[in-house]
Amino acid sequence: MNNLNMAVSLLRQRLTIISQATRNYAAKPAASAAGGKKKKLGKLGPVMEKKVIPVETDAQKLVSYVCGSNYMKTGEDVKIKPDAEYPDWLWTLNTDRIVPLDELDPNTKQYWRRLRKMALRRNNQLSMLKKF
Amino acid sequence: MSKAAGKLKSLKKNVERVTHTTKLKTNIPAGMAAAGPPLGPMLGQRAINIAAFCKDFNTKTAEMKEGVPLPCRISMNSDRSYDLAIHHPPATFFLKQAAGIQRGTMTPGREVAGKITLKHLYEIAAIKIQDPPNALLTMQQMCEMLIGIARTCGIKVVRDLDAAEYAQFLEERKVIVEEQRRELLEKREAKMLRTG
Repeated sequence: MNNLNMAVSLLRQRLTIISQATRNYAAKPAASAAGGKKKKLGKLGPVMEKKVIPVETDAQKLVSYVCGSNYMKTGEDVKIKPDAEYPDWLWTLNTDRIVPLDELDPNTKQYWRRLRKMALRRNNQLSMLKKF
Repeated sequence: MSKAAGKLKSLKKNVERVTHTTKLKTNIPAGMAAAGPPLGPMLGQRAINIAAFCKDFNTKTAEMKEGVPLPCRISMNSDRSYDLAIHHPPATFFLKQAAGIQRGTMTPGREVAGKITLKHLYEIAAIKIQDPPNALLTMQQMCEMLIGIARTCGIKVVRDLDAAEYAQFLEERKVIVEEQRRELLEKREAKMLRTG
């Protein structure tokens, strides 16, 4: 009985020592990584500052001119012209959603081009799953 | 046959080996080319005189508004000189300016960040088609490309846009953007607290 108790107490001591040892080990890498990252992210000499370009906020102007079209210091933005001055195909452009493959006509070049693109993408995705 | 081969061999010896480095393709802010980390190493690796290049670029972009991103294509010649081609700003820049937004959506296809009309699109296409890579496209193809680009920014292309309605939309959008910004900031801070 005595031997058993001694063995159990020894085991317990060893386990606590082991767990304490693992606890210390776990804390180190994270702290050093954070410290290392902070040091690396410091300024590397004259870094180029990011410049925020002002955006037009007046809705009236946004609707009647193409704001931002003139990026020179002098000059004005392009003014939107009345409907008649734009070509007719402009109004027929598809702006809503990407037309899925089963709604395209198989007699058009577009259908087969889209099919080829999808097949290429699928092949690439499958090859990413391979090991090497 | 052998005489021609012999001649070719002698010709090859006279012609010097031409070393072509990879072409440089970056967006440089107008008038703000500096010898800093983004540009400096890129130019330095190709043995271009950085100070001279920056001066050259800044003089060429002197009439442009400060900070407008300009795509530049730099190719090297064999005698250490470079060809610098400056294109119009990127399509996303034009689209975001025309829609009056600062940044696009974080989830394209799910939320709408701004609206634009077909006429805006046409005018932007008219500007962008002047760039060398787009020179052989038709206006229709250019417009279709821009529709795709707008889709990735979360910009919806409509037929007509009313000023008052759009002002309302922009107000609502401002609130949502503030919320998203705040959430991102909180996440970032929580991450710093966890690892710091």
